[in-house]
Amino acid sequence: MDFKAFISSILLLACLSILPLNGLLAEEGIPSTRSNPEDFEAAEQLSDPKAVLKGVPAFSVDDRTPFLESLDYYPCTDCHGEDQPPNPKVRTLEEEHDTVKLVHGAGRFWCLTCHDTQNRDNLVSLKNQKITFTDSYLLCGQCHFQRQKDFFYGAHGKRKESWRDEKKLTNCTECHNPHVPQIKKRPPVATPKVRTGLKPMKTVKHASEKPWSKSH
Amino acid sequence: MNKNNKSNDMHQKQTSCISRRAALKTIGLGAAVSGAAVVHGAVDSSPTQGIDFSDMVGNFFQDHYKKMSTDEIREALARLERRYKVLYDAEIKVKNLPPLNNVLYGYALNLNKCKGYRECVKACTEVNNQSIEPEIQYIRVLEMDRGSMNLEESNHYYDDSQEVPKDGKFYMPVQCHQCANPPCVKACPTEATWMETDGIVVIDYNWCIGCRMCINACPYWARRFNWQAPVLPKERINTDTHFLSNRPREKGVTEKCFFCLQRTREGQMPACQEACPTGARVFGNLLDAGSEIRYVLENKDVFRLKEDLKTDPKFWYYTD
Repeated sequence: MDFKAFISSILLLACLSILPLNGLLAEEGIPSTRSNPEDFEAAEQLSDPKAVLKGVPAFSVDDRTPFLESLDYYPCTDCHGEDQPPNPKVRTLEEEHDTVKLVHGAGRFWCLTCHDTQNRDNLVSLKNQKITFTDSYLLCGQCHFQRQKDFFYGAHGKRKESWRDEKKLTNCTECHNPHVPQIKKRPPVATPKVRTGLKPMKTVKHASEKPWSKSH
Repeated sequence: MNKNNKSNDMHQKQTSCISRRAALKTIGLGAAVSGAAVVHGAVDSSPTQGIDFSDMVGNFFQDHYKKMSTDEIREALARLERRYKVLYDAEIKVKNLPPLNNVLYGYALNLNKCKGYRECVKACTEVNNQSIEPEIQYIRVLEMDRGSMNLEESNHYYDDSQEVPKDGKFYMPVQCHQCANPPCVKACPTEATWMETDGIVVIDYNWCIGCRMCINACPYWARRFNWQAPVLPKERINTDTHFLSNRPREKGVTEKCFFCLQRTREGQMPACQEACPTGARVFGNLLDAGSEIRYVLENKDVFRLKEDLKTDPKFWYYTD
Protein backbone atom coordinates (compact mmCIF):
# COMPACT_ATOMS: atom_id res chain seq x y z
CA MET A 1 0.00 0.00 0.00
CA ASP A 2 0.95 3.58 -0.51
CA PHE A 3 2.07 5.74 2.35
CA LYS A 4 -0.62 8.19 1.17
CA ALA A 5 -3.40 5.63 1.32
CA PHE A 6 -2.22 4.56 4.78
CA ILE A 7 -2.34 8.10 6.14
CA SER A 8 -5.78 8.78 4.62
CA SER A 9 -7.20 5.61 6.14
CA ILE A 10 -5.81 6.59 9.56
CA LEU A 11 -7.42 10.01 9.19
CA LEU A 12 -10.69 8.43 8.13
CA LEU A 13 -10.70 6.24 11.20
CA ALA A 14 -9.98 9.30 13.38
CA CYS A 15 -12.94 11.15 11.84
CA LEU A 16 -15.21 8.20 12.31
CA SER A 17 -14.26 7.89 15.95
CA ILE A 18 -15.86 11.19 16.92
CA LEU A 19 -19.26 10.28 15.47
CA PRO A 20 -22.04 10.45 18.04
CA LEU A 21 -22.80 6.99 19.13
CA ASN A 22 -25.43 7.80 21.79
CA GLY A 23 -28.30 6.17 20.10
CA LEU A 24 -26.26 3.15 19.30
CA LEU A 25 -25.32 2.46 22.87
CA ALA A 26 -27.95 0.51 24.72
CA GLU A 27 -26.41 1.01 28.17
CA GLU A 28 -28.24 3.08 30.82
CA GLY A 29 -26.76 6.17 32.44
CA ILE A 30 -25.58 7.66 29.17
CA PRO A 31 -27.52 10.91 28.59
CA SER A 32 -29.91 10.94 25.62
CA THR A 33 -30.37 13.92 23.33
CA ARG A 34 -33.98 12.89 22.72
CA SER A 35 -36.44 15.20 24.60
CA ASN A 36 -38.90 14.15 27.26
CA PRO A 37 -42.51 15.07 26.44
CA GLU A 38 -43.32 15.58 30.11
CA ASP A 39 -40.99 18.57 30.22
CA PHE A 40 -43.20 20.59 27.90
CA GLU A 41 -45.95 22.89 29.22
CA ALA A 42 -48.28 21.98 26.40
CA ALA A 43 -48.44 18.52 27.85
CA GLU A 44 -50.38 19.97 30.79
CA GLN A 45 -53.30 20.67 28.51
CA LEU A 46 -53.67 16.96 28.07
CA SER A 47 -55.05 16.87 31.57
CA ASP A 48 -56.94 20.16 32.05
CA PRO A 49 -58.35 22.62 29.50
CA LYS A 50 -57.96 25.40 32.09
CA ALA A 51 -54.18 25.15 31.80
CA VAL A 52 -54.42 27.76 29.06
CA LEU A 53 -55.31 30.29 31.80
CA LYS A 54 -51.83 30.05 33.32
CA GLY A 55 -50.34 33.52 33.55
CA VAL A 56 -53.49 35.22 32.27
CA PRO A 57 -54.79 38.14 34.38
CA ALA A 58 -57.64 36.92 36.57
CA PHE A 59 -61.16 37.55 35.31
CA SER A 60 -64.68 36.23 35.64
CA VAL A 61 -67.52 35.69 33.21
CA ASP A 62 -71.21 35.60 33.94
CA ASP A 63 -72.58 32.24 35.00
CA ARG A 64 -74.55 30.75 32.14
CA THR A 65 -76.75 28.54 34.26
CA PRO A 66 -79.64 31.01 34.61
CA PHE A 67 -79.81 31.39 30.82
CA LEU A 68 -79.72 27.63 30.30
CA GLU A 69 -82.46 27.07 32.82
CA SER A 70 -84.67 29.46 30.92
CA LEU A 71 -84.46 27.23 27.85
CA ASP A 72 -87.16 24.65 27.13
CA TYR A 73 -84.72 21.87 26.36
CA TYR A 74 -82.51 22.20 29.43
CA PRO A 75 -81.37 19.99 31.19
CA CYS A 76 -80.42 18.06 28.11
CA THR A 77 -80.01 14.83 30.00
CA ASP A 78 -83.79 14.71 30.47
CA CYS A 79 -83.90 13.29 26.95
CA HIS A 80 -80.31 12.32 26.37
CA GLY A 81 -80.23 9.96 29.32
CA GLU A 82 -80.16 6.25 29.65
CA ASP A 83 -83.19 5.76 27.41
CA GLN A 84 -81.57 7.44 24.42
CA PRO A 85 -78.09 6.10 23.78
CA PRO A 86 -75.80 8.53 21.93
CA ASN A 87 -75.55 8.19 18.17
CA PRO A 88 -72.10 9.45 17.16
CA LYS A 89 -72.78 9.10 13.43
CA VAL A 90 -72.15 12.39 11.64
CA ARG A 91 -75.45 13.35 10.00
CA THR A 92 -77.95 16.15 9.52
CA LEU A 93 -80.48 16.03 12.35
CA GLU A 94 -84.04 15.53 11.14
CA GLU A 95 -86.25 14.61 14.07
CA GLU A 96 -85.20 17.06 16.80
CA HIS A 97 -82.96 20.13 16.85
CA ASP A 98 -83.45 20.35 13.10
CA THR A 99 -84.04 24.11 13.40
CA VAL A 100 -80.43 24.61 14.48
CA LYS A 101 -78.42 25.55 11.44
CA LEU A 102 -74.69 25.27 11.81
CA VAL A 103 -72.98 27.95 9.72
CA HIS A 104 -69.63 27.51 11.40
CA GLY A 105 -66.59 25.65 10.22
CA ALA A 106 -67.61 25.10 6.60
CA GLY A 107 -68.66 21.53 7.24
CA ARG A 108 -65.51 20.58 9.12
CA PHE A 109 -67.36 19.67 12.29
CA TRP A 110 -70.83 18.89 13.56
CA CYS A 111 -72.83 18.94 16.79
CA LEU A 112 -70.91 16.41 18.83
CA THR A 113 -67.58 18.09 18.14
CA CYS A 114 -68.51 20.62 20.80
CA HIS A 115 -71.41 19.03 22.67
CA ASP A 116 -70.35 16.18 24.95
CA THR A 117 -71.60 12.89 23.55
CA GLN A 118 -71.74 11.28 26.98
CA ASN A 119 -73.36 14.17 28.86
CA ARG A 120 -75.22 16.77 26.82
CA ASP A 121 -75.36 19.18 29.78
CA ASN A 122 -71.74 20.00 29.08
CA LEU A 123 -69.48 20.90 26.24
CA VAL A 124 -66.42 18.88 25.41
CA SER A 125 -62.90 19.70 24.27
CA LEU A 126 -61.10 18.10 21.38
CA LYS A 127 -59.17 16.07 23.93
CA ASN A 128 -62.44 14.75 25.35
CA GLN A 129 -62.39 16.85 28.52
CA LYS A 130 -65.50 18.35 30.09
CA ILE A 131 -66.07 22.08 29.60
CA THR A 132 -69.06 23.77 31.23
CA PHE A 133 -71.23 26.23 29.29
CA THR A 134 -69.92 29.00 31.53
CA ASP A 135 -66.36 28.19 30.46
CA SER A 136 -67.28 28.04 26.79
CA TYR A 137 -64.46 30.46 25.93
CA LEU A 138 -62.08 27.54 26.54
CA LEU A 139 -63.82 25.61 23.80
CA CYS A 140 -63.83 28.43 21.27
CA GLY A 141 -60.19 29.09 22.01
CA GLN A 142 -59.14 25.67 20.82
CA CYS A 143 -59.41 26.85 17.24
CA HIS A 144 -59.57 30.60 17.75
CA PHE A 145 -56.47 30.71 19.92
CA GLN A 146 -55.27 34.10 18.69
CA ARG A 147 -58.65 35.63 19.43
CA GLN A 148 -58.60 33.91 22.80
CA LYS A 149 -55.29 35.49 23.72
CA ASP A 150 -56.66 38.89 22.71
CA PHE A 151 -59.76 38.12 24.77
CA PHE A 152 -57.72 37.29 27.88
CA TYR A 153 -55.66 40.45 27.64
CA GLY A 154 -58.39 42.87 26.60
CA ALA A 155 -58.06 43.48 22.87
CA HIS A 156 -61.13 41.40 22.02
CA GLY A 157 -64.47 41.16 23.74
CA LYS A 158 -65.52 43.71 26.32
CA ARG A 159 -64.59 44.46 29.89
CA LYS A 160 -67.71 45.17 31.85
CA GLU A 161 -68.55 47.62 34.64
CA SER A 162 -65.16 48.81 35.85
CA TRP A 163 -61.74 49.55 34.41
CA ARG A 164 -59.96 48.90 37.72
CA ASP A 165 -62.08 46.72 40.01
CA GLU A 166 -62.82 43.04 39.55
CA LYS A 167 -62.30 42.16 35.89
CA LYS A 168 -65.51 40.93 34.30
CA LEU A 169 -65.48 39.96 30.67
CA THR A 170 -68.16 39.13 28.18
CA ASN A 171 -68.24 35.47 27.26
CA CYS A 172 -67.93 34.59 23.57
CA THR A 173 -71.56 33.57 23.32
CA GLU A 174 -72.80 36.92 24.64
CA CYS A 175 -72.05 38.37 21.21
CA HIS A 176 -71.59 35.36 18.91
CA ASN A 177 -74.23 32.72 18.36
CA PRO A 178 -72.02 29.60 18.38
CA HIS A 179 -74.01 28.01 15.60
CA VAL A 180 -74.10 31.11 13.39
CA PRO A 181 -71.28 33.27 14.74
CA GLN A 182 -71.27 35.91 12.01
CA ILE A 183 -72.43 39.30 13.28
CA LYS A 184 -75.50 40.45 11.35
CA LYS A 185 -75.90 43.90 9.88
CA ARG A 186 -78.38 46.26 11.50
CA PRO A 187 -79.50 49.84 11.06
CA PRO A 188 -77.62 52.42 13.13
CA VAL A 189 -78.98 54.82 15.74
CA ALA A 190 -80.65 57.98 14.36
CA THR A 191 -78.61 60.19 12.06
CA PRO A 192 -77.23 63.26 13.85
CA LYS A 193 -78.97 66.52 13.06
CA VAL A 194 -77.05 69.07 11.07
CA ARG A 195 -75.99 71.97 13.25
CA THR A 196 -78.46 74.80 13.56
CA GLY A 197 -78.30 77.13 10.62
CA LEU A 198 -76.13 74.89 8.46
CA LYS A 199 -76.89 72.60 5.57
CA PRO A 200 -75.14 69.22 5.22
CA MET A 201 -71.94 69.62 3.29
CA LYS A 202 -71.82 68.01 -0.12
CA THR A 203 -68.94 65.58 -0.35
CA VAL A 204 -66.51 67.02 -2.87
CA LYS A 205 -64.28 64.51 -4.60
CA HIS A 206 -60.87 66.06 -4.85
CA ALA A 207 -58.52 64.89 -7.55
CA SER A 208 -55.89 63.97 -5.06
CA GLU A 209 -52.92 61.72 -5.65
CA LYS A 210 -51.82 60.85 -2.19
CA PRO A 211 -52.85 57.29 -1.32
CA TRP A 212 -54.42 58.26 1.96
CA SER A 213 -56.61 60.88 0.34
CA LYS A 214 -57.94 58.76 -2.49
CA SER A 215 -61.55 57.71 -2.16
CA HIS A 216 -62.94 54.89 -4.17
CA MET B 1 -83.83 142.82 37.28
CA ASN B 2 -81.36 140.81 39.23
CA LYS B 3 -84.01 139.43 41.39
CA ASN B 4 -86.01 138.42 38.36
CA ASN B 5 -82.98 136.73 36.84
CA LYS B 6 -82.25 135.02 40.06
CA SER B 7 -85.78 133.78 40.30
CA ASN B 8 -85.63 132.68 36.69
CA ASP B 9 -82.43 130.79 37.39
CA MET B 10 -83.96 129.25 40.45
CA HIS B 11 -86.94 128.22 38.39
CA GLN B 12 -84.70 126.62 35.81
CA LYS B 13 -82.72 124.82 38.46
CA GLN B 14 -85.87 123.53 39.99
CA THR B 15 -87.07 122.29 36.63
CA SER B 16 -83.84 120.38 35.96
CA CYS B 17 -83.91 118.98 39.50
CA ILE B 18 -87.39 117.75 38.95
CA SER B 19 -86.52 116.17 35.63
CA ARG B 20 -83.44 114.47 37.11
CA ARG B 21 -85.52 113.20 39.97
CA ALA B 22 -88.13 111.99 37.56
CA ALA B 23 -85.50 110.28 35.50
CA LEU B 24 -84.04 108.48 38.50
CA LYS B 25 -87.50 107.45 39.57
CA THR B 26 -88.19 105.92 36.17
CA ILE B 27 -84.91 104.01 36.18
CA GLY B 28 -85.53 102.71 39.67
CA LEU B 29 -89.01 101.61 38.77
CA GLY B 30 -87.74 99.94 35.63
CA ALA B 31 -85.12 98.05 37.62
CA ALA B 32 -87.71 96.91 40.09
CA VAL B 33 -89.97 95.73 37.29
CA SER B 34 -87.22 93.82 35.55
CA GLY B 35 -86.09 92.46 38.88
CA ALA B 36 -89.59 91.19 39.51
CA ALA B 37 -89.70 89.68 36.08
CA VAL B 38 -86.42 87.94 36.83
CA VAL B 39 -87.68 86.54 40.06
CA HIS B 40 -90.79 85.16 38.41
CA GLY B 41 -88.76 83.35 35.74
CA ALA B 42 -90.12 85.18 32.73
CA VAL B 43 -86.72 85.34 31.03
CA ASP B 44 -85.46 82.01 29.76
CA SER B 45 -82.20 80.86 31.43
CA SER B 46 -81.01 84.34 32.17
CA PRO B 47 -77.93 84.20 34.38
CA THR B 48 -79.87 85.69 37.25
CA GLN B 49 -83.04 83.73 36.82
CA GLY B 50 -84.63 82.44 39.95
CA ILE B 51 -81.74 82.96 42.34
CA ASP B 52 -81.54 85.30 45.24
CA PHE B 53 -79.19 88.22 45.68
CA SER B 54 -76.58 86.40 47.77
CA ASP B 55 -76.26 83.69 45.13
CA MET B 56 -75.97 86.37 42.47
CA VAL B 57 -73.12 87.98 44.37
CA GLY B 58 -71.52 84.58 44.95
CA ASN B 59 -71.67 83.75 41.27
CA PHE B 60 -70.26 87.13 40.30
CA PHE B 61 -67.27 86.70 42.57
CA GLN B 62 -66.76 82.98 41.88
CA ASP B 63 -63.13 82.40 41.04
CA HIS B 64 -61.51 79.99 38.58
CA TYR B 65 -61.91 76.38 39.68
CA LYS B 66 -58.18 75.93 40.18
CA LYS B 67 -58.02 78.96 42.43
CA MET B 68 -61.02 78.25 44.62
CA SER B 69 -60.53 76.87 48.10
CA THR B 70 -62.39 73.76 49.21
CA ASP B 71 -65.01 75.87 50.98
CA GLU B 72 -65.50 78.08 47.97
CA ILE B 73 -65.96 75.06 45.75
CA ARG B 74 -68.48 73.61 48.15
CA GLU B 75 -70.43 76.87 48.09
CA ALA B 76 -70.23 76.98 44.31
CA LEU B 77 -71.63 73.45 44.08
CA ALA B 78 -74.48 74.39 46.42
CA ARG B 79 -75.27 77.47 44.35
CA LEU B 80 -75.35 75.35 41.23
CA GLU B 81 -77.65 72.81 42.80
CA ARG B 82 -80.06 75.57 43.86
CA ARG B 83 -79.99 77.07 40.40
CA TYR B 84 -80.63 73.71 38.74
CA LYS B 85 -83.55 73.12 41.06
CA VAL B 86 -85.17 76.29 39.75
CA LEU B 87 -84.21 75.81 36.10
CA TYR B 88 -84.99 72.11 35.69
CA ASP B 89 -87.14 71.32 38.73
CA ALA B 90 -84.88 68.34 39.46
CA GLU B 91 -82.61 67.39 42.36
CA ILE B 92 -79.35 67.50 40.46
CA LYS B 93 -76.31 66.65 42.56
CA VAL B 94 -73.06 68.31 41.56
CA LYS B 95 -69.98 66.61 42.95
CA ASN B 96 -66.30 67.42 42.78
CA LEU B 97 -64.26 64.23 42.58
CA PRO B 98 -60.53 64.86 42.45
CA PRO B 99 -58.33 63.00 39.96
CA LEU B 100 -57.19 59.56 41.11
CA ASN B 101 -53.53 59.04 41.94
CA ASN B 102 -51.27 57.18 39.53
CA VAL B 103 -53.90 57.20 36.83
CA LEU B 104 -53.56 58.45 33.27
CA TYR B 105 -56.56 57.53 31.14
CA GLY B 106 -56.09 56.11 27.68
CA TYR B 107 -58.54 54.89 25.08
CA ALA B 108 -58.21 52.57 22.12
CA LEU B 109 -60.72 51.75 19.42
CA ASN B 110 -60.74 48.66 17.23
CA LEU B 111 -61.59 49.66 13.68
CA ASN B 112 -62.32 46.07 12.69
CA LYS B 113 -64.99 45.88 15.35
CA CYS B 114 -66.69 49.24 14.93
CA LYS B 115 -69.71 48.69 12.71
CA GLY B 116 -71.04 52.23 12.85
CA TYR B 117 -74.04 51.54 15.06
CA ARG B 118 -73.66 54.91 16.86
CA GLU B 119 -74.64 53.29 20.17
CA CYS B 120 -71.74 55.16 21.75
CA VAL B 121 -73.11 58.50 20.55
CA LYS B 122 -76.53 57.73 21.99
CA ALA B 123 -75.25 56.54 25.37
CA CYS B 124 -73.03 59.60 25.72
CA THR B 125 -75.96 61.97 25.19
CA GLU B 126 -78.07 60.05 27.69
CA VAL B 127 -75.53 60.25 30.48
CA ASN B 128 -74.07 63.69 30.00
CA ASN B 129 -77.03 66.11 30.02
CA GLN B 130 -76.52 67.38 26.51
CA SER B 131 -78.87 69.69 24.68
CA ILE B 132 -81.26 67.98 22.28
CA GLU B 133 -82.24 71.12 20.44
CA PRO B 134 -79.84 72.20 19.03
CA GLU B 135 -78.50 68.67 19.22
CA ILE B 136 -75.06 68.32 20.75
CA GLN B 137 -73.18 65.04 20.42
CA TYR B 138 -69.59 64.65 21.54
CA ILE B 139 -68.81 61.63 19.39
CA ARG B 140 -68.76 61.87 15.63
CA VAL B 141 -68.77 58.54 13.76
CA LEU B 142 -67.14 58.96 10.37
CA GLU B 143 -68.03 56.59 7.55
CA MET B 144 -64.82 56.24 5.56
CA ASP B 145 -64.00 54.48 2.34
CA ARG B 146 -61.93 51.36 2.76
CA GLY B 147 -58.39 51.80 1.61
CA SER B 148 -58.27 55.50 2.37
CA MET B 149 -57.72 57.66 5.39
CA ASN B 150 -59.55 60.65 3.99
CA LEU B 151 -61.27 62.35 6.90
CA GLU B 152 -62.46 65.30 4.82
CA GLU B 153 -64.47 63.16 2.45
CA SER B 154 -65.92 60.96 5.14
CA ASN B 155 -69.63 60.91 5.78
CA HIS B 156 -70.76 61.92 9.22
CA TYR B 157 -74.48 61.92 8.46
CA TYR B 158 -74.87 58.41 7.05
CA ASP B 159 -78.49 57.38 6.90
CA ASP B 160 -80.16 55.40 9.63
CA SER B 161 -82.45 53.58 7.21
CA GLN B 162 -79.64 51.53 5.69
CA GLU B 163 -77.96 48.70 7.53
CA VAL B 164 -74.42 49.04 8.71
CA PRO B 165 -71.63 48.21 8.09
CA LYS B 166 -71.99 49.08 4.43
CA ASP B 167 -69.80 47.26 1.95
CA GLY B 168 -66.57 49.04 1.19
CA LYS B 169 -66.76 51.31 4.22
CA PHE B 170 -65.24 51.37 7.65
CA TYR B 171 -66.34 53.39 10.63
CA MET B 172 -64.22 55.60 12.81
CA PRO B 173 -65.68 57.40 15.81
CA VAL B 174 -63.92 60.62 16.76
CA GLN B 175 -64.28 62.41 20.09
CA CYS B 176 -62.02 64.52 22.24
CA HIS B 177 -58.71 62.67 22.40
CA GLN B 178 -57.61 64.38 25.64
CA CYS B 179 -54.31 65.35 24.04
CA ALA B 180 -51.24 65.53 26.23
CA ASN B 181 -50.14 68.60 24.27
CA PRO B 182 -53.54 70.16 23.71
CA PRO B 183 -53.84 73.04 21.23
CA CYS B 184 -57.21 74.03 22.73
CA VAL B 185 -55.59 74.71 26.11
CA LYS B 186 -53.01 76.88 24.42
CA ALA B 187 -55.68 78.80 22.53
CA CYS B 188 -57.93 79.59 25.49
CA PRO B 189 -57.43 83.25 26.48
CA THR B 190 -58.88 82.82 29.98
CA GLU B 191 -57.40 79.42 30.90
CA ALA B 192 -60.92 78.10 31.27
CA THR B 193 -59.73 74.76 29.91
CA TRP B 194 -56.75 72.78 31.16
CA MET B 195 -55.46 69.24 31.47
CA GLU B 196 -55.94 67.59 34.85
CA THR B 197 -53.36 65.28 36.41
CA ASP B 198 -55.25 62.19 35.30
CA GLY B 199 -54.97 63.31 31.70
CA ILE B 200 -58.47 64.59 31.06
CA VAL B 201 -58.77 68.05 29.48
CA VAL B 202 -61.56 69.78 31.40
CA ILE B 203 -63.51 73.04 31.10
CA ASP B 204 -64.67 75.32 33.90
CA TYR B 205 -68.03 76.26 32.35
CA ASN B 206 -68.37 79.25 34.66
CA TRP B 207 -65.04 80.67 33.54
CA CYS B 208 -65.54 80.10 29.79
CA ILE B 209 -66.31 83.37 28.02
CA GLY B 210 -67.52 81.74 24.81
CA CYS B 211 -64.89 83.12 22.43
CA ARG B 212 -64.59 79.76 20.63
CA MET B 213 -60.85 79.97 20.04
CA CYS B 214 -60.53 76.43 21.37
CA ILE B 215 -63.01 75.11 18.83
CA ASN B 216 -60.94 76.64 16.10
CA ALA B 217 -57.74 75.23 17.54
CA CYS B 218 -58.84 71.62 17.88
CA PRO B 219 -57.64 69.60 14.86
CA TYR B 220 -60.15 66.85 15.57
CA TRP B 221 -63.20 69.14 15.72
CA ALA B 222 -63.98 67.65 19.11
CA ARG B 223 -65.43 70.70 20.83
CA ARG B 224 -69.04 71.86 20.72
CA PHE B 225 -70.42 75.29 21.36
CA ASN B 226 -73.80 76.18 22.86
CA TRP B 227 -74.98 78.70 20.30
CA GLN B 228 -78.39 78.73 21.90
CA ALA B 229 -79.76 77.97 25.32
CA PRO B 230 -79.61 74.20 25.65
CA VAL B 231 -82.89 72.33 25.72
CA LEU B 232 -82.78 69.48 28.20
CA PRO B 233 -86.08 67.70 28.82
CA LYS B 234 -86.73 66.47 32.33
CA GLU B 235 -86.76 62.77 31.41
CA ARG B 236 -83.27 63.01 29.95
CA ILE B 237 -81.64 64.61 32.97
CA ASN B 238 -78.92 62.63 34.71
CA THR B 239 -78.87 63.91 38.27
CA ASP B 240 -75.43 62.49 39.10
CA THR B 241 -73.14 65.23 37.82
CA HIS B 242 -69.67 66.69 38.33
CA PHE B 243 -68.63 70.33 38.33
CA LEU B 244 -66.15 69.81 35.50
CA SER B 245 -68.06 67.36 33.41
CA ASN B 246 -71.72 66.60 32.88
CA ARG B 247 -73.55 69.23 34.89
CA PRO B 248 -76.09 71.05 32.68
CA ARG B 249 -74.38 73.81 30.73
CA GLU B 250 -75.76 77.15 29.63
CA LYS B 251 -75.78 79.19 26.46
CA GLY B 252 -72.43 80.54 25.43
CA VAL B 253 -70.04 77.91 26.77
CA THR B 254 -67.99 75.25 25.06
CA GLU B 255 -68.26 71.61 25.95
CA LYS B 256 -66.69 68.35 24.81
CA CYS B 257 -66.04 64.76 25.76
CA PHE B 258 -64.45 64.46 29.20
CA PHE B 259 -64.03 60.67 29.33
CA CYS B 260 -67.10 60.59 31.64
CA LEU B 261 -64.98 61.67 34.56
CA GLN B 262 -67.98 61.60 36.88
CA ARG B 263 -67.97 57.82 36.22
CA THR B 264 -64.33 57.00 35.55
CA ARG B 265 -63.04 58.74 38.65
CA GLU B 266 -65.23 56.33 40.58
CA GLY B 267 -63.89 53.33 38.70
CA GLN B 268 -66.69 52.89 36.17
CA MET B 269 -66.26 52.66 32.44
CA PRO B 270 -67.22 55.64 30.28
CA ALA B 271 -70.73 55.44 28.82
CA CYS B 272 -69.48 54.94 25.26
CA GLN B 273 -67.37 51.93 26.18
CA GLU B 274 -70.22 50.39 28.11
CA ALA B 275 -72.68 50.91 25.30
CA CYS B 276 -70.60 49.56 22.45
CA PRO B 277 -72.22 46.25 21.44
CA THR B 278 -69.13 44.93 19.62
CA GLY B 279 -66.56 45.64 22.30
CA ALA B 280 -64.57 47.88 19.97
CA ARG B 281 -63.62 50.27 22.76
CA VAL B 282 -60.82 49.68 25.23
CA PHE B 283 -60.44 52.07 28.15
CA GLY B 284 -58.06 52.00 31.04
CA ASN B 285 -55.12 53.33 32.96
CA LEU B 286 -52.01 53.85 30.86
CA LEU B 287 -49.84 53.71 33.98
CA ASP B 288 -51.01 50.20 34.87
CA ALA B 289 -48.74 47.80 33.04
CA GLY B 290 -51.31 45.01 33.22
CA SER B 291 -54.23 46.95 31.79
CA GLU B 292 -56.01 46.17 28.55
CA ILE B 293 -55.07 49.50 27.01
CA ARG B 294 -51.39 48.76 27.58
CA TYR B 295 -51.73 45.33 26.00
CA VAL B 296 -53.35 46.89 22.93
CA LEU B 297 -50.67 49.56 22.62
CA GLU B 298 -47.88 47.04 23.01
CA ASN B 299 -49.23 44.24 20.83
CA LYS B 300 -51.46 45.67 18.16
CA ASP B 301 -50.91 47.94 15.17
CA VAL B 302 -52.01 51.27 16.62
CA PHE B 303 -52.09 54.73 15.13
CA ARG B 304 -53.34 58.15 16.16
CA LEU B 305 -55.06 60.74 14.03
CA LYS B 306 -53.07 63.68 12.71
CA GLU B 307 -49.92 62.49 14.38
CA ASP B 308 -47.88 65.11 12.52
CA LEU B 309 -49.50 67.90 14.50
CA LYS B 310 -47.79 66.67 17.68
CA THR B 311 -50.89 67.04 19.81
CA ASP B 312 -50.00 63.72 21.51
CA PRO B 313 -53.56 62.44 21.80
CA LYS B 314 -54.51 59.72 24.24
CA PHE B 315 -56.88 57.98 21.85
CA TRP B 316 -55.50 55.27 19.61
CA TYR B 317 -57.06 53.31 16.80
CA TYR B 318 -56.08 49.72 16.16
CA THR B 319 -56.93 46.73 14.04
CA ASP B 320 -57.11 43.06 14.90
